Amino acid sequence: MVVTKDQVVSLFASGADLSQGDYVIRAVDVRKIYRMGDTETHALRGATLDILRGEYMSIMGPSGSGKTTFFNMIGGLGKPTTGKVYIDQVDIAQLDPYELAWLRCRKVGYIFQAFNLIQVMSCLENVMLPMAFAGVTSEDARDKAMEILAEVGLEDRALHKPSEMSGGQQQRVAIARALANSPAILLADEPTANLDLRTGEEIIELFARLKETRGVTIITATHDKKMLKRSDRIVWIEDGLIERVTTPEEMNIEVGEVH
Amino acid sequence: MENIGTQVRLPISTAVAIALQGIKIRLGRALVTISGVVLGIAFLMSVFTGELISGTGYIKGAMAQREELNNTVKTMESFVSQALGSPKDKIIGIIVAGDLEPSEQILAKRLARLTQDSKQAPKEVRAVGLSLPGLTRAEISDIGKDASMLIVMGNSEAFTKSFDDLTAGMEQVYVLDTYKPVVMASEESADNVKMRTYAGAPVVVLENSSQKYEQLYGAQQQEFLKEQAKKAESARFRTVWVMIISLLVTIIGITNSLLMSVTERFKEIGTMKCLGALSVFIRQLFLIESALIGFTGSFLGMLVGALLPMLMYSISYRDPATGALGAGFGVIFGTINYSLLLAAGFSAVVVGTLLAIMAAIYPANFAARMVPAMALRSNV
Ligand SMILES: Nc1ncnc2c1ncn2[C@@H]1O[C@H](COP(=O)(O)OP(=O)(O)O)[C@@H](O)[C@H]1O
Ligand SMILES: [Mg+2]
Repeated sequence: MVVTKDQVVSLFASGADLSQGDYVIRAVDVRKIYRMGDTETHALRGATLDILRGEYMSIMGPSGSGKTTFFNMIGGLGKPTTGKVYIDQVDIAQLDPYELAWLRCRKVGYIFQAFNLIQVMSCLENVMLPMAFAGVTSEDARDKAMEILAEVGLEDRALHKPSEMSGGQQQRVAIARALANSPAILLADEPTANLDLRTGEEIIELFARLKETRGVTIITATHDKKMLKRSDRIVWIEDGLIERVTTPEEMNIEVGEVH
Repeated sequence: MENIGTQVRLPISTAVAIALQGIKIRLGRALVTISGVVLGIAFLMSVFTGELISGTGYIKGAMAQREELNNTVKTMESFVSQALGSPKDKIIGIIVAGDLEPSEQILAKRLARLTQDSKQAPKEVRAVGLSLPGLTRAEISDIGKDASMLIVMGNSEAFTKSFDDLTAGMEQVYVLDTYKPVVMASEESADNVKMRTYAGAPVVVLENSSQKYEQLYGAQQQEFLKEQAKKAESARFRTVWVMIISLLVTIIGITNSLLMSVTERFKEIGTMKCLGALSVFIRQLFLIESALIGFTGSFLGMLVGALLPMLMYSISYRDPATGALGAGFGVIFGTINYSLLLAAGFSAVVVGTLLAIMAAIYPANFAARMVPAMALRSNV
């Protein structure tokens, strides 16, 4: 199926009708071309998407479809080849490195497939690190880190090293770390891909809970349909294009139709 | 842009703390890198220390002073042997006037030992003035009687006796003043002896003594000195060359290990950037890590490079007079110039630390340029 830019925009429009409110992230016709020698990879071919403040959005697509690339763009981790990304109405292309670092530090919390905990640091120190980057004194950071670790149920593991913990526990530490500076957005790229089903579901439950208690916007990428049921909206991405935006209910109907 | 602030720069102490943590955990690699620095700086320091112990340059080492003393004694001995041939069956007269210089003491001791050696033993070694073990005392007027050689020792002006009296009984006249090892007289006969003042003391010098001295030593000695200087020059050049190579190897070693460390930590660096780390901070992290490694390594290397040569020289040191081992510790540790040693050690540590920081510039910039998106790549 070939989708034109106009079609994508109209598909997005139908999704945006689902609710009103302010947009925490807006991506407008984002294209990303990776050049490696002579070969060009069109990882994104014009993705347009608005994300509402406080919603839980899942980005669904097969491996290589451009999910991670899209995350990089909307999370201020990389620059689009063309197109615009606004975070809190700010065009991030206009930001200097110091402002970008500030944004990554306080506006967005990143959660990774491979947890990416700093192996040389204890859980507590991992959670304290973003606060250190934000200039918080270490006493305040320690107190707050302990609070957040308690929030994810790991206060008794604070002094353990990541290598001494299970994958699910490590991912919860990573979530605690992402929450350190109380960001408006949590970006999680396939957070459950390295976890077994049950542990993965626990993580999804944790996200849903954080959405309720903190009002944080949650954006997760996944290629596992089982991870979608808690989300408010599902963005289907294929071959660098946003194909459609649905709700879990619509998806259930579709799945019902297929089977 | 009221929504966005500017990220603050962190104090260096934060980077130091995190770098230290990294070194502690990756201790294995850090130790390998540190031992590379230890080797490089130990080599540098051992060259410094060697120079302080045996250097012949402007830093006159403890060993070099001994060596010089030894050479002085050898010069005097070689005069004796050139003048006399084998001391066997010869008579040697010694006039000791005043205090003896270290070189004179050694010569006296050696002559004393000579009398005990049955094969080489001279017929007689007679001494006046200060009595020495193994030397018989004789009347000053008889000192030259039948003697093949007269040796004047000591720093005093007491030697005022008429030279004619002294040399009256001598067939050939060889007089060696060991106070400043010069040949005062050397002639077939004592006929053309004249009085001269030497070092404030009225002494007798044969007319052509300096000429004879030149004949005996001058050319030979000058040749020898030239040879020595040449050897020292090429040794110095070699040392400097090896030193530069070893420091380069150290730098390359650190750079390589840091580059590996950066490559290994792509994800970690990317993650830190995602968490709000500035490039400056990442750069600092690696520079500090390297500086810490460099400091530790060069401090240890400085200790090894100072102590090892001192111990080696001490153990292998032989007493110039007796050839005995064992006195080395006193000589080396007692005479080495500690303020110069300290200065050398300080510069070695500074050099090592600076080199380590220099070696880290490229890896640190490489790490600082890393894009935060690296953290999301699952294949690295
Ligand atoms: N840094 C990169 N350099 C070159 N190609 C890349 C890079 N990152 C991703 N790609 C390519 O872009 C496409 C989309 O990748 P990605 O965004 O990682 O997809 P997903 O996360 O959905 O698996 C793939 O073909 C991938 O090979
Ligand atoms: Mg991906």
